Amino acid sequence: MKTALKKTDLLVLALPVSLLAIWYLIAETGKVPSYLLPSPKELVQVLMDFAWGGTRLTPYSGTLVEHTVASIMRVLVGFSLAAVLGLVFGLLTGRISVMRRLLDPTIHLVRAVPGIGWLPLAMVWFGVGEKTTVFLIALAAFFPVYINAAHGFANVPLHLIRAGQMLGADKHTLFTSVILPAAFPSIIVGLRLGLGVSWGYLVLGELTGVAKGLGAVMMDSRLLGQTEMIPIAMISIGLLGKLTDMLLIKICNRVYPGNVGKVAG
Amino acid sequence: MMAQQALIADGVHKSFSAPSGKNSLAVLEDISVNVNQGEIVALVGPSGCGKSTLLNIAAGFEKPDMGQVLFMGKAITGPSPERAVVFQSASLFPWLTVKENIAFGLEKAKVKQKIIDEKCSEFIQLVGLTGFENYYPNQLSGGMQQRVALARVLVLEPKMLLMDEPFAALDAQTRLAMQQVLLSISMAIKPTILFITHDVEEALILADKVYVMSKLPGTIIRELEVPFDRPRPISIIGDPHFSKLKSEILEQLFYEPCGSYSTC
Ligand SMILES: Nc1ncnc2c1ncn2[C@@H]1O[C@H](COP(=O)(O)OP(=O)(O)O)[C@@H](O)[C@H]1O
Ligand SMILES: [Mg+2]
Repeated sequence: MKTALKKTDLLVLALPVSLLAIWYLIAETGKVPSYLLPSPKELVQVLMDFAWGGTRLTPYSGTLVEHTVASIMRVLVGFSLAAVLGLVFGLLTGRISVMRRLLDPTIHLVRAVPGIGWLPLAMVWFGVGEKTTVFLIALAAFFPVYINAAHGFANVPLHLIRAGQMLGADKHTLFTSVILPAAFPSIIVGLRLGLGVSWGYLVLGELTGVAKGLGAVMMDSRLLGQTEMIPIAMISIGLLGKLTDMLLIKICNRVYPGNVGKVAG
Repeated sequence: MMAQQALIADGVHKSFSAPSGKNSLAVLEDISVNVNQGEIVALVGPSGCGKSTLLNIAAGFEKPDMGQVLFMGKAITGPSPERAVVFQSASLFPWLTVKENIAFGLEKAKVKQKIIDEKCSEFIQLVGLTGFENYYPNQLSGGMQQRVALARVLVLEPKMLLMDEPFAALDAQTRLAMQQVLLSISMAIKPTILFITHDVEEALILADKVYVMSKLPGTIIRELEVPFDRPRPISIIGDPHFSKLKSEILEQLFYEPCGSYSTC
């Protein structure tokens, strides 16, 4: 048992470690200029400086927190909007046939326009920066939340609803104690997908020009010739995406009672 | 003493519109059944003859097209814990533990938590699931799930139990065991039960009275009082009188009026 665990762990690590080693060796030869491929060692130093400051390796020395906070706030606002609207509309069209006929086809029609395609119009409406970014996140994250919520609410098994009714649940308690928990696993899937999409659209929005944010760091450091900051901003966003996903799962598993529908990171 | 009537179905008709929309499918035709208080009445019929449809009407999940169904003298307007249902698939809430499933109805009735705890352990013991309180349904066998389904309605002390082929999905041995569980419970609390099954043997083991239904559209083709004394041990299956009744009913179920044998 224990040895099997060790074996798989090694196997999981094999690829990233080899890639890292190859990267390191290539960088050490000095044949590739460091603005194209900075060495891992150099990156770690820049990352440390970005996070804690002190060594002033780049103009971004010690600014990780403020850029991260700016990005997280945008994701939080945009994703929250998407989550609330997606759940409400998903509930309406999932449970009420009139609402489904009224709203669902139009929502899917809007969805057919790729999220990126909204960028120019969003910039006309909201200008460059903050509002555009939040709008794009909210728009793009809405669809996965909505579709999965609608699916979950629509597919609550009839026999569970009937079981709830004959056990004495009224309209209100039937919703809270049968319909919502039954739809919950599907809702979680939508929220996770939506949150992932949010980070993608955050970068898109921030690339258009905001003062602070990890997307801005990426774009601006290229112009400033600080190319080693680009992968660092990318890694930061990747880590934040993973972290917020884990947090979301924690919250969902706390809210959702029972052992089924529990999701793993 | 005259037996008190619990459930009366009188001239019930029901048809469903076919998926295509146009033609409707007649499922129940002029069904009249009568369940007295404290009585176990079985309804046997071939698969697809409308048994569940009748039970769903009695439960208040569906409405008859014609005829009426009365419970304790009043028309049925919707589902209610006084007519509790045990479904063929246990239909437990998968996100709740055994204990929480059994507590569900009591919570909806706003019973005090202390009494809920007491009643839950009492009924968990009654159906023989002590030690499994904190298990989730997907961690239980089919027979255990059906015991939970039974406990979660019995705990509400319903005036009547509607059971829709509750043991049909179980293996033969578990089915016999569950029949005995139900019989011993019914000796203890004398519930009124409408028990639906396609299994003639099961009907004869459990019921005081059996209605036999025809193939679609379902009509009642026979009503008989079951003559065996209680308690009825499993060995009753070997009794010659039992076998004779069983084959008689099977004969009726499979014998078409036009004179040819057929299966459903
Ligand atoms: N909601 C429904 N819509 C259309 N047809 C139905 C519906 N419910 C049942 N039926 C049809 O009614 C017939 C009887 O079904 P059911 O009462 O479930 O039979 P049983 O329980 O005896 O097997 C079947 O032919 C079935 O297809
Ligand atoms: Mg049925």
